[in-house]
Amino acid sequence: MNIHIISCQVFYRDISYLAALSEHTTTVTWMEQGLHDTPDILRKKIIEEIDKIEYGVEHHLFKHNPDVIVLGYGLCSNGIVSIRSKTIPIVVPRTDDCIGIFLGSQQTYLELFKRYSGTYWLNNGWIESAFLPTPSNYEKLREQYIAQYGEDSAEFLMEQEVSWAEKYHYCGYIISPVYDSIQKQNFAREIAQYHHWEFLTFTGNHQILSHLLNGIFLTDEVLICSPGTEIVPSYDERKILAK
Amino acid sequence: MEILNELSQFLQKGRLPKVKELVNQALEQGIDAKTILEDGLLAGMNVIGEKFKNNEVFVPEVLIAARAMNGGAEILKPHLVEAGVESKGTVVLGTIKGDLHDIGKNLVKMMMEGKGLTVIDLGVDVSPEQYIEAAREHNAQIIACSALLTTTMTEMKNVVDQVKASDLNGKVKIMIGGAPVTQSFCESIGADRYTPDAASAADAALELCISA
Repeated sequence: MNIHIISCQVFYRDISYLAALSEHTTTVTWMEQGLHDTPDILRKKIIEEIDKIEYGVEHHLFKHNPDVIVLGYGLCSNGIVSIRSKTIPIVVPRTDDCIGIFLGSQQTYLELFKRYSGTYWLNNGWIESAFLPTPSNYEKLREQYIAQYGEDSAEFLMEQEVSWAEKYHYCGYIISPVYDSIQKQNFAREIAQYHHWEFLTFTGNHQILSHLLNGIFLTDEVLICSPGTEIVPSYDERKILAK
Repeated sequence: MEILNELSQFLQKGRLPKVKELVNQALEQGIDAKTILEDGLLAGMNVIGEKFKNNEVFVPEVLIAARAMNGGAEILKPHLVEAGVESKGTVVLGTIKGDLHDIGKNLVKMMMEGKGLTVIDLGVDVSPEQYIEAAREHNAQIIACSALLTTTMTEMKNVVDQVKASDLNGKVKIMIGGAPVTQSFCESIGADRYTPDAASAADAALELCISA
């Protein structure tokens, strides 16, 4: 099978590792991390990539046409809603976001979400690619606000910026099954300490990613969106539907 | 009036100290509080609201403008009370159970207060029972729920269901909003109104209170 993956950069190490071990032929298009903050842009960029793939198929640009497009995304602030293809099935995990994918199941994520309300999640993927709530990043942001809006407004904006962090209680660090380092864990511990969050560790699980990369598409784990239909939210435990 | 135009301009730049100064000056010039509020503060905020809808300005600009509006409105409050300008309605506002994010909710609060509504802010992680209890206690016309996460937005259905099952059914309208919330979600849970941004939320709340 030829699998074309369009994925958030946050999965770089995990998907690269699993792609290397997959019996299938895989191609990965990496998208910058953080697009969930601008879901309309995320949607637009994924659609552009799908259109490029379909153009390539139509114009015989590939040696092996993809049999399936896999999205390395969850619902991600509804960024995947309305995504469609004309000719190739799209497969996407039924998760709210990447946390469930890193933990190996949406169910595990929801259980932890309830048990540890107010958890900021970290792992090597986020540390390597995301904007993190560190003192130095806050300082840069403060300087940017001062330059744009003046000292007084900058102070107010920073108060708003950090208000969520004051209400969080935990930092949940997911240890990757592929690669982890003590430096990264220590970095996460420092962030937790800075915000007065309790530091917890969880073991990552590749079940969802491994299934995706090996072409095992289980309908309770992923949505298979047939050509001509589009992804819509289901507002229940299924997360997404094809319509 | 030139001073009200100037007030609107400084509000749009989020310059709180200057807005306060100009509100005081306008009062000294004998301009009535209601005119200062409507033609100065709200006029400026409406411009920012429109620009936000059109992606010409972003959340920080709206936040500092809303703060400036509230700072100015605070000075006007005793004058408005004296002139017999009454609250236009009461909204019970909060971020839904399980969700601890409040920037959007705080912005909605400022915008609603700017429209002359009384806002009872319950904070974050608010249960259906807390919304209902507060709405009953304050005789509110609206319960407004905010959510940032797709994991928590579904909790809004519990608020709708519990209100419908209570004595508030038909008396209180339920508004919903927040990044992942959509019109189709609003329809699917039977809430009364979805709005995509804080300015629209304030407009809709005012409309619902007036028609209540």
